Amino acid sequence: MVDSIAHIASALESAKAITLEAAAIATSKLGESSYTHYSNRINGKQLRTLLNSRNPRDVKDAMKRIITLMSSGDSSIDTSTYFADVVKNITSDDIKIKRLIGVYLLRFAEKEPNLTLLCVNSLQKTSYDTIPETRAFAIRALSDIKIPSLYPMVLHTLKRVVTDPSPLVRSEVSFGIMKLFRSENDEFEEDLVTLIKDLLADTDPLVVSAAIATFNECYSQNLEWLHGHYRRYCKMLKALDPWIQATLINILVQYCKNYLPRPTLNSGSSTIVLPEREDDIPFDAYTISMHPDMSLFLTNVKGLIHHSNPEVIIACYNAFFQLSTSKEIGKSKFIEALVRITQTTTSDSLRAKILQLFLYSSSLYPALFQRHLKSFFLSPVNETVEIQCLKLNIISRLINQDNIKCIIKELKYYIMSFLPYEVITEAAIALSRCGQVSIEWEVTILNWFISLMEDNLLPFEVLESIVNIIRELVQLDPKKHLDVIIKLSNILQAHTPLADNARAGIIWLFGEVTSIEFKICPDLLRKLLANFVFEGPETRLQILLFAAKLLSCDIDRFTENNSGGEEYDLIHSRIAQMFNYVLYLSKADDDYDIRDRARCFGSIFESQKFEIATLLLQAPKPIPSLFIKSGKDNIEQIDVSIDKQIRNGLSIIPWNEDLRLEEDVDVRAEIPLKDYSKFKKSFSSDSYIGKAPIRSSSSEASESNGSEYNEFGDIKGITSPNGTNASVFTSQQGHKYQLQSLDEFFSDIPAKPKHKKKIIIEEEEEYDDEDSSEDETSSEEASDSEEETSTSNGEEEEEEEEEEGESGSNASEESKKVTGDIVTEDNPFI
Amino acid sequence: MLISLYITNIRNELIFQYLPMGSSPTYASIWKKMQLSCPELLLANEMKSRSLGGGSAIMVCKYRSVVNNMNYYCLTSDDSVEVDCFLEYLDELILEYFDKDEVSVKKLVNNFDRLSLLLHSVVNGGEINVGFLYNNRIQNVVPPVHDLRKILNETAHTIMNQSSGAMRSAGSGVAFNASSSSRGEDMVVPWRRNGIKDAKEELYVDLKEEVYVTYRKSDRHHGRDGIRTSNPSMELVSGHIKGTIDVRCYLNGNPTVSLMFDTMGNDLGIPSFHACVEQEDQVQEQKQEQEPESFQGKRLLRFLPPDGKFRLAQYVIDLDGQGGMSRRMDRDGLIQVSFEDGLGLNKDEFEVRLHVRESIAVVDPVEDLVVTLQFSNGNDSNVKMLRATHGTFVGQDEDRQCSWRFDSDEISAGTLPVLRGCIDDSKHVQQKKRSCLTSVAVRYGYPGELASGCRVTRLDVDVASPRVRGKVFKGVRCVTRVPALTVRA
Repeated sequence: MVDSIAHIASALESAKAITLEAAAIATSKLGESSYTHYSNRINGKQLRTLLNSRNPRDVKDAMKRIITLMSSGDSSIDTSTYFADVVKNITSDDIKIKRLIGVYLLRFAEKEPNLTLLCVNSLQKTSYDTIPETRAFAIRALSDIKIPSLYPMVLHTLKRVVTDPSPLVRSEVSFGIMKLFRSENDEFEEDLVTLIKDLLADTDPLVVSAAIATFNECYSQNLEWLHGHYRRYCKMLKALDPWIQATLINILVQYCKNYLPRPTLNSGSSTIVLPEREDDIPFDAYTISMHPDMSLFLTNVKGLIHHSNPEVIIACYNAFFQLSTSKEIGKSKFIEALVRITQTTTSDSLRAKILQLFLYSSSLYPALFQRHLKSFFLSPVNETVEIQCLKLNIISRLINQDNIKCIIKELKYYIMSFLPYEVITEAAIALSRCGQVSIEWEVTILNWFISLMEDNLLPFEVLESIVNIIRELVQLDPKKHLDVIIKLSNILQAHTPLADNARAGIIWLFGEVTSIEFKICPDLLRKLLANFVFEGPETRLQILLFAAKLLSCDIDRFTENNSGGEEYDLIHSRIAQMFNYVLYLSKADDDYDIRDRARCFGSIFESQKFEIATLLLQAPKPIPSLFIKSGKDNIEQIDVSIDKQIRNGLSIIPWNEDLRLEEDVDVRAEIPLKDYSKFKKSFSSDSYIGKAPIRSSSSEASESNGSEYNEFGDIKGITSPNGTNASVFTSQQGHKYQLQSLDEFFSDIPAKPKHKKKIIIEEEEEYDDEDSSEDETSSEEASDSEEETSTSNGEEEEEEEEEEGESGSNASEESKKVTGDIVTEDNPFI
Repeated sequence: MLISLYITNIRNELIFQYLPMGSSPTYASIWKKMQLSCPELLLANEMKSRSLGGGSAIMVCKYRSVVNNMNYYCLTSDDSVEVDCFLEYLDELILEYFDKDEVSVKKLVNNFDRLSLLLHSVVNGGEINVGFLYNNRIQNVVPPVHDLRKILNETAHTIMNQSSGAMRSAGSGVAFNASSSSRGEDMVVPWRRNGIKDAKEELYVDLKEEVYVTYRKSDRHHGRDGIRTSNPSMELVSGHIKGTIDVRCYLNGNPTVSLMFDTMGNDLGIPSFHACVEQEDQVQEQKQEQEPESFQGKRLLRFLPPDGKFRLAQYVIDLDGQGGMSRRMDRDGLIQVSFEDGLGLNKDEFEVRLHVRESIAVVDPVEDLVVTLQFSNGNDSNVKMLRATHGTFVGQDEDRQCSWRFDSDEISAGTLPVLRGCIDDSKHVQQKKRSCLTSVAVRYGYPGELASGCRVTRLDVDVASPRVRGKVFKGVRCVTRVPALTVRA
């Protein structure tokens, strides 16, 4: 730091010749903020001047200003008016300016098609650049321009660069295909298909990754294209880009479903094919056997268990969900990985989606999730209502005899805490579902709810939903819950300030109970009548309904007991009198609905159509939606709360029933690959162990079919099947060369034994013999000429070197400078 | 398909917008539509994607960055897991790119051009630009800004060149091109730049853990699983520790780093690793038929690190599966909490006690300690403090919460703060309806030690070529945060 400042001080002293403006720009480079300050002062007029300046720095400043204006939403200067000034700078040598223009073109090219054509030529030229990144940029910028007249030219360029030695450029071709495909031009279809097929057969993982993205986007129906690549893709799954692995897994699942036979389950002597639903498996213990290609896929999927991208883990889980049994899902431990993601992710949206996945799966395989129960307990730190409700919903599906105590304790805590009302309601629903485990628990839970109401400890909003839950619980089997019903009638009469619809709910429940426990009802109605006018509208309506139900029930009881044809006394019956009183009050009600209903019921009973009354008022009610149904209904029940994408992922893809297996033909035999790495003119290697095979995962095949590509050059691929010899280069003559970088070469000198030099000289002789060979690379030719001189006194040198090692190594260093990176395996010194 | 992307502050005011298509709407127009069709999405904590309304299939996805205090909005043609993951990753990528722990609005404003280019390279034709999402790959295309020292050096150099008349007319692009010359295709691994020569030779490992644990006071002397617990009044409801291993790497060449991680008996389950961590393929192949192993014991992580900041691993320790209560209690941080309710003559007093454990590794005082007291319903009750040995007491809010706050240098190992208070609830004589203390939650952080006890026992840089590498400066830092340790009544 001190040195740097000293440098500046001395430099500033000697910099008297610099103009004031240049100095201002120089100092502005010292800090981002001061540069921004300088940049913000550039006005519209200056901007045009800077864009037309010959100094690249001015142009860069102007482009930065334009991009800043676009990005900040600042409308003080209309950036689209500078189109011509911006576009002509595409000829600049500075790649950053080009890239900034690329960003500008994305936004405005469509609006100015004629002016955009001006930059096409320059971009075409750039696509011949020596730096792959620059070439890739040119391809991208060209294919991004959405002008129909330009498409044929773009296609031509893509065809030209699809054999580019750089994977960066080839992967850009893949995106170019996607953009042309979107133009929906039928003329190109054939060419695009040829191109994408070539890219799918590429050996480089980067290119394959991009090709799969395009395949998924444009040609996902053509799964048969993957026949020859299936095994290779399975093996190279890990080497592909993390952002394409999920897509590829989903594609391969589709492929397995279409082209591979359904797995079979074996138990003893019986064998069945894997059924669509786990419940349909007739035996408890079984082994699953699947096609070797499917096992290959699932084995490689298992290897992604530690992946950091949640999307990949979800895709892996789906693969097991689609192709295997719950036992295998459990073994694969992807559920553990997903649970970890729900706890670590910072995206609530993602967390909600994984919880939806759990909700769906837990209703199918609750046993798989029961051990993670506590992970679904609500977190004390901020969670959205949606996530809390999803968690509670999942908990309610994991209840069994072993964990019910723990769950009930927890749910009771949530109901009593200061959570949002929706969450408390969901917790109460979950608690009511605990009652499904056994009647004892149901009674305990109901009593707890009643005690809550009696003590009036809950806010109105929650109380209302709890009344609904109690009502639904009791409705299932009212006979068993008579004591609860009596307690409810006490609550109704105890003048506790219950919400209107909570009271209405309880009264409705009594209406339902009339046919079961008639005795308590008339008295309750009598007590309710006294306060009829002070009740809320919903309660008034329910009292009317209650009175009608009671009367209808009383009439039915009377007809049952008196089969002699005696008529029910509608005038003197106490119940009928009470009904008439309610009718009288209701006919003068404020509420339309109550008046309407009152007239309706009144006319039914007046005209003595008691059968209609029975049908209307005592119809059996459906089982409440609160409770978890079994099997398929269960899935339908939760289906509504699940996002479309998660649902699509989980809906079982049907197996291809028409699949015909031809035993002699192996459709998935690997097809010839496109290996362009042989075009490379420079070689470098690295010592990173284990990573070298990434590029070479398929080179076995390419070697076997290699002759096809020999026309492109003399040099075979520098890669090798097992990756151990990744840095070995084989020339056409069959000589092997160890490839090293200059740094490695120099650093390795002392460590190498010297006695091997002899062998080299023999090789050089061989070289001399074959010197007539035409196809030597220039570097090799250079090395040859150097070697010729060295071999002329080779014998002497050898003796000398054995005597005085140091001078020998110096000589070898010199020869290395000429030979570049290529060093013979046997003697790395030359 | 990604249509546009907007970064706003938490008040939803635009900071940055990336509009990669002629038809991409500006934030100003989207803002109006969002207010009309999905106003709830604009709320601070809401992240659920929503349709933009008006019959269009366009979705607005949102990601709230807690670290940077910013919102990311993204218009897409479908609401997919991919978009959620992408937005979360983008936030991390921006931090990695600028090599910061948090990015300020000012930093973004000063770097609009870089940010645009960054997005230009990660989004291609509306799709995620597969293969170009590694920070190092992006740095190849969009070189990052250098730190002040480098800028000073460079500026000095430039001025000297200028003053000596050596400035070339077209020379300004040279620096950019030079850095571009480390060509992407020569990258040994997709996540590391090649040809790094001027790095500082430093390697830092940051271990961070967050503890989330809930206890219930229990009168029983036996835990739920029948094991006699060391603290008979506590029962674990649920708890987990979230851990991350972040690495900052500034090394030359392509070094392989070995990190020996000792889990100290914890079961880390199935952690996630950065793509650079070697996965011992051959070993795994032999065990294909077996279940993946839990991460336990002393494990060696070997990796060829990306240049700069990155997340090496992320794990969760489930405290429920970690053996007996005493073992769990050792893993929930430095502070133990206990409280009593119904004390005093009128049974309306309560007492909260904290115990700060002593630890050799923790030298600095506990940071940002806040104790939150939650009281049950009781409309007219009023909570008063009687006495407190440390800290300040802040009265009740509408959620019936009180807080007891401490200054950062107030609490160190071995202190025993005690708070005594009373609930003034004269109207409810009946015991059942009385307001009472239902839970006490503690929030704090401390450097020096991880709650779980996990640690790095060895950190080596494999020296492939000793001449290239000088002495490497290495460092390991541990930080624990306890966002929520709750004890329920």
